[in-house]
Amino acid sequence: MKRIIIRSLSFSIILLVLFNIVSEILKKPKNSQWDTSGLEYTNKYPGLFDVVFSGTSITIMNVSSEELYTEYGIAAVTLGEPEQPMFLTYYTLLEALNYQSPKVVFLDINSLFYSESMLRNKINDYEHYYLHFSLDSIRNPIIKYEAFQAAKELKPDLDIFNYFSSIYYNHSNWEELGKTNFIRKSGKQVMNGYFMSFTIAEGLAKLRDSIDIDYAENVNEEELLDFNKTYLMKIVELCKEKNVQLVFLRGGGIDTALTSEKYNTINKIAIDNDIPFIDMLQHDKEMGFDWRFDASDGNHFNIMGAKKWTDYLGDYLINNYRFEDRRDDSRYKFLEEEVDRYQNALAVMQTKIDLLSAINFEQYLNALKAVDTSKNTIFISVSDDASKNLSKKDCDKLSELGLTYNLMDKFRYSYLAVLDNHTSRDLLEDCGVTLDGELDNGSRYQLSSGGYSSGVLASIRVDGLELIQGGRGINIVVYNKEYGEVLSSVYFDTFLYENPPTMRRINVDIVQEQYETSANVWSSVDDVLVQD
Amino acid sequence: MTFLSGIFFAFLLITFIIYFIVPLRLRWIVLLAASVVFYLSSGVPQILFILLSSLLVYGAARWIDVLYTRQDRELKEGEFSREEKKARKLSDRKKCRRILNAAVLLLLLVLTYCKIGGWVIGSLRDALGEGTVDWMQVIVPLGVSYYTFSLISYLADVYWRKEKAEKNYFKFTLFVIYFPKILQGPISRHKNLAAQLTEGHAFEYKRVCYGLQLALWGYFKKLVIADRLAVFVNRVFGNYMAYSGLIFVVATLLASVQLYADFSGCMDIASGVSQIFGIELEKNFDHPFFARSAAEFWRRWHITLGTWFKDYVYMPLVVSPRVSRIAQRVKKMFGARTGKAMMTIIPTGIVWVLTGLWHGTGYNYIAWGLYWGGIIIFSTVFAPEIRKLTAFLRINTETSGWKVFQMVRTFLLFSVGRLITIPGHLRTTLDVLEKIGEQFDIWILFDGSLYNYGLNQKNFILVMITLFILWAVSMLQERGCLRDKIAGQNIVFRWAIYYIAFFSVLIFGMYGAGFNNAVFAYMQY
Repeated sequence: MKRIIIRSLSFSIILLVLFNIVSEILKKPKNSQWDTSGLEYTNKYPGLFDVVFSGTSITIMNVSSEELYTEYGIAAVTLGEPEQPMFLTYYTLLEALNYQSPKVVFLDINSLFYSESMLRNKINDYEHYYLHFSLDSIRNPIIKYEAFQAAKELKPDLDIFNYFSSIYYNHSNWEELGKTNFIRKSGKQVMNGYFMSFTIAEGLAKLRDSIDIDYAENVNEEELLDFNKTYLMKIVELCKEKNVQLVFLRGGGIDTALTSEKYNTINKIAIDNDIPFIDMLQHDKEMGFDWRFDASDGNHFNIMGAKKWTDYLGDYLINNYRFEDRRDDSRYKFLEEEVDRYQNALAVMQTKIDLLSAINFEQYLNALKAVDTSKNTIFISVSDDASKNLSKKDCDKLSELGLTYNLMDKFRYSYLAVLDNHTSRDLLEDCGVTLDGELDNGSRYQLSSGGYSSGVLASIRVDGLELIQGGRGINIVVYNKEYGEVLSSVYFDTFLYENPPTMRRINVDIVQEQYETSANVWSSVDDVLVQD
Repeated sequence: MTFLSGIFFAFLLITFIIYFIVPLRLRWIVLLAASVVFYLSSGVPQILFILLSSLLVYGAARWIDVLYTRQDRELKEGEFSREEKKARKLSDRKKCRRILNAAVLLLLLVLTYCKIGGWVIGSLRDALGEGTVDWMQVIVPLGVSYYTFSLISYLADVYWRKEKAEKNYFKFTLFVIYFPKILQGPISRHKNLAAQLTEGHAFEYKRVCYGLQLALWGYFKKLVIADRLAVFVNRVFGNYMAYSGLIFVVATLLASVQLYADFSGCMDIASGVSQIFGIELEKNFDHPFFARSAAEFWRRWHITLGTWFKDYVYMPLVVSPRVSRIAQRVKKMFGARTGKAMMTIIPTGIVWVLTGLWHGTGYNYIAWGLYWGGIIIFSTVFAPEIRKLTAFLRINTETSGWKVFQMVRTFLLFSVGRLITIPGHLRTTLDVLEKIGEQFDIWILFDGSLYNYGLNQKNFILVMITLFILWAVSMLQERGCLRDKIAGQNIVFRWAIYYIAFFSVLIFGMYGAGFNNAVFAYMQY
């Protein structure tokens, strides 16, 4: 009998170990964009965080915990999942406060106004996706079960095994097994629960001007759904119980701007419970938020926008509460180690903004000259002809970049160039030319150029994906090697009898979006014409 | 609760622990309680049906038994002439037959109600209009076809004095409701199962391991093979108007394997689970695709249903004076061979029509029964001609090539039969047959077109691998007990097999979100 027991136990232990390994391997890697998992940090570094940000994707993308550490010495963590309803925010916060005793919790109130049908639809939609994000990060089985039961109030037929057995949910991922299933890495753009966006959404400045934020004119309130209000009040009670200062935050962009009624509702709850309430749109000018370059869409900010908004919140925290400076504390090594990466990311963003700010060939070449080719690669490809209207000044500027060949008088020639790691590699021929190679980050590039008599084409591909429109003249792509970001994709028609030449800027964010989805770039290119 | 629901595993673990904790003599009570809980999960009215049915049969059998016992005692003790004894026996026999007939009739009425009740209500609703009979609902007890046949066989055996009636109603109920076999059979005989259920079994490590292995193999067949193939089959036949040509042939062949993997998978789970408790269920499958003739196929497929029909329908018909009279009449009119053939045609024809009706009440099931009855009658009646033809063509029937040909032929015959029932209606089957002839393009097998019917390339590769495993395991099982062979291996190899099998089911099984495999194909009967 003893032998049987030992044998059974050994078998079961091995089975459990294998079960865990297989479960981990089969876990679908989250889309890198949302692989934030702030709860992992709260569990991994117990008692170390002074500030917690909790809520939806607005929290994930708009507040930079690294900025708070770098500039203010405050240790913060971002908890949040895309479009996370208030009840799940409550349970993730409940889990986090089991490990942390922060001084301040910022609560993103964006999800407070979800209607019942919206909540139901979200749970339906989330069955295979977002609901998992929240529930999978909760480790405490009791909290997880309560959260699941709350979700069941909205969708009674939820299958518990889907949420409590990883392999049950993920087993069919065997069809998509890849390297990422075996080597788990946080997304490059993820930092302590914060997601760094490099996207720039244009055209928001005018929209911002059209939004009225003078809430005082209207005294009406919007009624809250009981379900949402219940969980909001649970958060309020939880924070009181844990002796944490709760702050309501409306930190999204212009798409989620509050109506007067909504503002009044939330403001009343805030006043009744002695909770500060900060609305970003009431302070954007004060913080120097530039709606031309700082937002990545109507709701979310890019790294530059997040920096400005976080600096505003940092000032608020320093002015209202006392925090120890964590920058020399060895326990916060994990934050210190990220500083360089964060600064580098800011530099990447600045390069992108500089290139985007250029409005003609000369300005663009000046911005291009400032690009650090140890971190970025510049690709050039000519289609049709690039020389007919190219001035000597333009040629000199191009030469200053380090190019070997001069395009002057090279009528209808094919031309390719790669500027990488402070060196150049270029080809000039009167027949079609191609060039390929590998970058430091392992990405492969393939360039093609065809002059007027050699096919009239230009192509710049990285990892098989076309990054340019291939317009007549000089096509230029600036590619960041660390983040795989296309910082700029433009072409200048240097054939036309115009001086300076016409610049056609391709909306790099659309190109980037296509890059993520590997779809046909040119099916939806936004061709922005900028004429000086 | 089914064998595929997560709660079943918790239920099984709890039952297992309690069963081996309580004293041996009380263990049958644990099984009874567990079976009631299992059955209750399908609904309270459903359990009332089965409990009342078992009470009816229990009472009828006891009554018959009492009559026989009294008759035996009185005939033994009293002074009776031979004629008086004969008359007394005949009189008691008549009484017993009336009891038997009444009980069987009631059981069949319930079965008929369950089988066609839905259709009747649907027809009434169509005739009288929406809302008129919506209050009526057909309650279909779990495994009604299986336990009804088990009850009839028990009652008939008591009537024929093949066994004594069970005196303890609860023990009898356990035989009826025993949870591993209630979903899909096997159609157990009381004399084979009852004693095993009530005697109590000590824990035996080897037996538990064997049971778990068999159940695991059953899950593999059901979740990895059958449910994967079902995606393809359902896509093709669920939208048959959109397709044509060879795809129906492929889907039909795969549907045959799917049904086998589904049904035999469930049987393996049932038998494996039962073995854990030390109880051996009757074998229901014996690698039917290795059968070389239709008759052999049905001796290997759903064995307990086949033997039930043989023992309780076919044999009584063969010895029936009416059938004999018809055969004699035919003999006089058409000769001796035709008269003899009638002794095959009538019972076999009736058995196969009833077998068809057991599977379903549509015309397609009657056609299916006639199809199989026709094949078996033909092969039996014309067996001498077939033998002569084989000899004339100088076919060596002992070569493996001929054997493989026969197996393939049997499989194809089964697939044609499957085509009669899969589409759901006879009219649809005819439509499908017509569409097979349209745009018959063999290249769909090679140009990737097959990947457009719910299974992508990776899944198709997996199907091929698992079908090979199914074939290989079946071959090994055919040659002896595979589990004995595995048990003879060293521990590393043995455990590796267990882990691979377990994780294969876990990873490649079709379950969880997006899959609706809570039922087995044969659960509907």
